[in-house]
Amino acid sequence: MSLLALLLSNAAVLLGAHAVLRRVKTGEASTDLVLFLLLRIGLVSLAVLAMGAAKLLSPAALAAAGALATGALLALREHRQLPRPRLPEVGTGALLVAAAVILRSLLQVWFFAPFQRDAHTYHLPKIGEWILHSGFTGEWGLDLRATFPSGFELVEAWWVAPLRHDVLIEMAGLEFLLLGAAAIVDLARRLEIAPRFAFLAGLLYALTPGLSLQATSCLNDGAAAALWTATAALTFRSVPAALLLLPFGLGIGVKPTYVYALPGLAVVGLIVARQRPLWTKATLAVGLAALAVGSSWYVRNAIVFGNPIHPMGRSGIVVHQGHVAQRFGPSLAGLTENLYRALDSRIYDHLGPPDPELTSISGWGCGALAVGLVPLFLALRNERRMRWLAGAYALSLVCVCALIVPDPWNMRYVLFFPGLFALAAAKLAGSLRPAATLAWVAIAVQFVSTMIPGKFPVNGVSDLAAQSWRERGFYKYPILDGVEEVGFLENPDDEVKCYSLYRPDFSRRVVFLRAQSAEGLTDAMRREKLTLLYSPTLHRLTQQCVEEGRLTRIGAGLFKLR
Amino acid sequence: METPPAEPPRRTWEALVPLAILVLRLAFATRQPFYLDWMVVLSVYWILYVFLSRTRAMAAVTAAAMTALFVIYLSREFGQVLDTLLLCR
Repeated sequence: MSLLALLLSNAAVLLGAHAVLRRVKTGEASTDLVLFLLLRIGLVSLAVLAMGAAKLLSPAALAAAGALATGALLALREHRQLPRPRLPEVGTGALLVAAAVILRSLLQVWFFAPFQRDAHTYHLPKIGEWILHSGFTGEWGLDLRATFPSGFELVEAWWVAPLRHDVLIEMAGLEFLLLGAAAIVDLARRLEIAPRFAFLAGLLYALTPGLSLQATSCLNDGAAAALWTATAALTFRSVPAALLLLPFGLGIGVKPTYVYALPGLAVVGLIVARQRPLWTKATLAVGLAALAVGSSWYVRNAIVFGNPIHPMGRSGIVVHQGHVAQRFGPSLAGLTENLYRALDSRIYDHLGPPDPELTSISGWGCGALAVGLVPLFLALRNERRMRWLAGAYALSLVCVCALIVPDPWNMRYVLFFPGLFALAAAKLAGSLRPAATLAWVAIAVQFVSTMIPGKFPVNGVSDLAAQSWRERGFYKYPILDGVEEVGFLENPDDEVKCYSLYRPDFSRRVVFLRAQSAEGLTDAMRREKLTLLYSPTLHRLTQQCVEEGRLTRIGAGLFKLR
Repeated sequence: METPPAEPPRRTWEALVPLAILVLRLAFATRQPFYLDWMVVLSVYWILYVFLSRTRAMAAVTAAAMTALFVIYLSREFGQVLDTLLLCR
């Protein structure tokens, strides 16, 4: 049933995305590929939102809905409209490299389990809740950041719900990586770069270490960068304005930092594509649907918290005992420091291994510094269109740097920028053979450097590969072996990697407990029919409960209700 | 037959800009040794571009600058990559 659900639901979405594409396509193959990928992600998001709201996010319901939708589309002969598959004419070598990248990425999806801290603490627990309850509940997890927009999690849930297992969860990141690469190819074609070198640009960007490692890390910064690049690709084509709402809607739903990076595109887009038609019926429908999908998180926050951008307030996002994780509004001092650190130090990527968290590094790779810098200088001098595009990239970079707090991890928010270097490198590679050779060497270096996230522990990969896929997990809680349901309690700043509590097949019921008093805590456990509480960090309420005889400590962080 | 457009005059004064960047960068260099700094490499390349852009040597200069930047990047970063690959095997 699980595999059937996965196949049928994906068949339906692929056919559906193509059916919509036929109504909004531009006739330019590279642009239509970007549109197709955006439409697929949009339909996936819409489907998960609808099925989650209807509490139908289960393998059986997905199989039934997938069968119905696929059947309807086949009856409408939609499959006959599909283009005949053909390989792009970019040279055998380039195709072999692309095949190697795809194969490597699929192996990473299979052998990696969610490992990144932020994913475990606040991105993924909500997916655990959705799968456990076959749909959305009022529970989003105890971490303050769990209420961030969750558009990326919708796509992750798409790959998790049919199997009721997270073995394929990283496929969501790969969808966005493909989108980012396709968007760079489209931008390259707009710059009149020959197809084989446009393909080279796409490969260079897809193998940007930060972006590539993000794709299999369950983080959403790579997805936001891909959506920004897709927005850039459509902005620099004269597509109807309403169609720009498609990447915009999805982008705001994935991460607000996407919006931080929009001013460059807005300003330059208005200047270079003034002859843009406003809308057609089909593009308006598509754009409004995407806008509805993306804005749903803000509507929810407005209803639940009275603030659409919760937890952002006038003081920014305050976490960890008063630490401001994100500021509200721009800062000149922040801009200066962020740009200085990016260009003086982090661009060398030497302060840490390539890793999706990008601690003190840019993650732009040698494709930017070594292969892209000189070609960018030349392109800016000689190419008018490249100057406009670079202006958009630069203004967006400045806006993001002005709006984010200087911290060791903030280069994650500008992963769209290395795309500019990839485009410049491809441009020069078309006319200077040594530049093309160096670009291929950079691809090889970046391929090697993105095999394994740098922060994996010693023997991390072999440990994961040694586990059966059903049990594969990065963090284990052996103390909870055999426990089928457990209450969970943590302090607001603890950052416990609580996603692993669900187990990879979501077979353990986890209940997040909120209580103001010891009595309230035990009452909540009784109400939820729980006998066990897991609270791995020191917590005032568990201490008090133990002292008052309400709970018995039976292991490290594990308590039994008396 | 169309007359080819005249080449723009060489603007040697333009070389003052990268020269200023180079001097400032060397004066306030935080990165040692100085030749491992991408701004130094790019400034030198810019100066050479001003004088050599209409010669055949420019292609070789461009390839050399890109290779130099490649070496700079790898000399700093590749150890990290090897460590990761060897430790996480």
